[in-house]
Amino acid sequence: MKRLPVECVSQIISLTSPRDACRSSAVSCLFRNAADSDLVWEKLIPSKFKRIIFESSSSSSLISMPRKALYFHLCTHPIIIGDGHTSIALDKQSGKICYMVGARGLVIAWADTPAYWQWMTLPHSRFSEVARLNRLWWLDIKACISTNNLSPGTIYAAYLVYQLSEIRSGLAKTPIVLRINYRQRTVVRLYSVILDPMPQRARLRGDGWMEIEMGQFFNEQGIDDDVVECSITEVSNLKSGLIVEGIELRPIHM
Amino acid sequence: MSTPAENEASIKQESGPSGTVQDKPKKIVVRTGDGEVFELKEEVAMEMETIKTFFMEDNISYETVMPLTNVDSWELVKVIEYCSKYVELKNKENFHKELKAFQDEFVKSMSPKTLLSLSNVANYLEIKYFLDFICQAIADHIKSKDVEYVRELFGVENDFTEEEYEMAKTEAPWAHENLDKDLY
Repeated sequence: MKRLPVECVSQIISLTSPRDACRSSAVSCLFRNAADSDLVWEKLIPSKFKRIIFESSSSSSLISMPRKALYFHLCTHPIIIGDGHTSIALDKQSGKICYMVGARGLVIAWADTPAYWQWMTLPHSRFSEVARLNRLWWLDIKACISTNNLSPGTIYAAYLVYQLSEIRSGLAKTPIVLRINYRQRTVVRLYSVILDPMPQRARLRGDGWMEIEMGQFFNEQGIDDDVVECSITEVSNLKSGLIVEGIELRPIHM
Repeated sequence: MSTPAENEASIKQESGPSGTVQDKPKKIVVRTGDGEVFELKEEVAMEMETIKTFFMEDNISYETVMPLTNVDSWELVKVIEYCSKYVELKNKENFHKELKAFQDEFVKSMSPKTLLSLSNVANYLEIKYFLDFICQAIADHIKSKDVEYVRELFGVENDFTEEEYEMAKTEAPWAHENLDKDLY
């Protein structure tokens, strides 16, 4: 049969997914050339994301990168945006946006009272500051995230990213309520979990932090002022030693 | 392709004051690779950049039969079908909705190999919107299919050395998992 020119093969691959594009590199030499091309990976990086990174300060070296290398760079090197309290990255398999709000971007009750919350700089955090719970009854943390920041037509999960101080108390006693609320109509998910010792649903992340899923929602998009609210609450017990890096939203893999 | 009535109507319109018919009957004639001759309406033919350039660039008379050696007659039939529909729907209100319905019907019974042939033709005739559509249809088809399937479909050989193939695979092992098993 007539051989398809390499630009056509590139065009076809650019309409699949990052996973399919990576697999295509193993089909044949021609396919590898087609699949590794800028044409393909330019298409696979969400345009929303490109706009954001090219506006941020780290853009000069990124703009000149070959697009496939840029794609994988963005999967493993979250870009800090906004006031320095938010980061975005790409999810490797799907090419969708991962969005994380750092502790300074969250609404933490009593955050400005040093007796209750201590702000520290930890080297393994992507953000300049994280929040450590010193001693408090009223644990109440909220994030209100506009879904415009996320990829449309995607199921997202929200994760509390945290760790426990060596010196801690109260966290083994009462469950913390993790909740996400989408569209302010229905409570989508509510989990009640004791963080100490490490619960089954929590896991250790690659960057040294712990995370626990707070719930999932389907981001349709195209709707103005659409937000997802994530909250962490526990007000019946004196607690200390919880360190919060932030809340991350990531697409789930089926 | 038009009916005799339409033909007559277009010829009547083109008569000059002296009653003579002008030499642009608004029809373009092409010959496919397998020797068949097709008459296309000008508005449909002009959707194909290759044909448009051929006639417009050197102001070639429409009486010339343009050879389309890389196109088979069955392929041209399909192309004409799509472009005619596109031209018809182009200025309508429900353009996107109706086009989508037509597109779904158009590809419904097409085999992947048929789609590939048509993408070649769309590329050769330079019909951007048709090429975009066919490429998307092929892309949807190869998602989550393994390497062997794609080779079979595109008619390509594994021309890697052992090492090259291993390297290509290990670069992204996660891309080779959880693929469609139900293929043939």
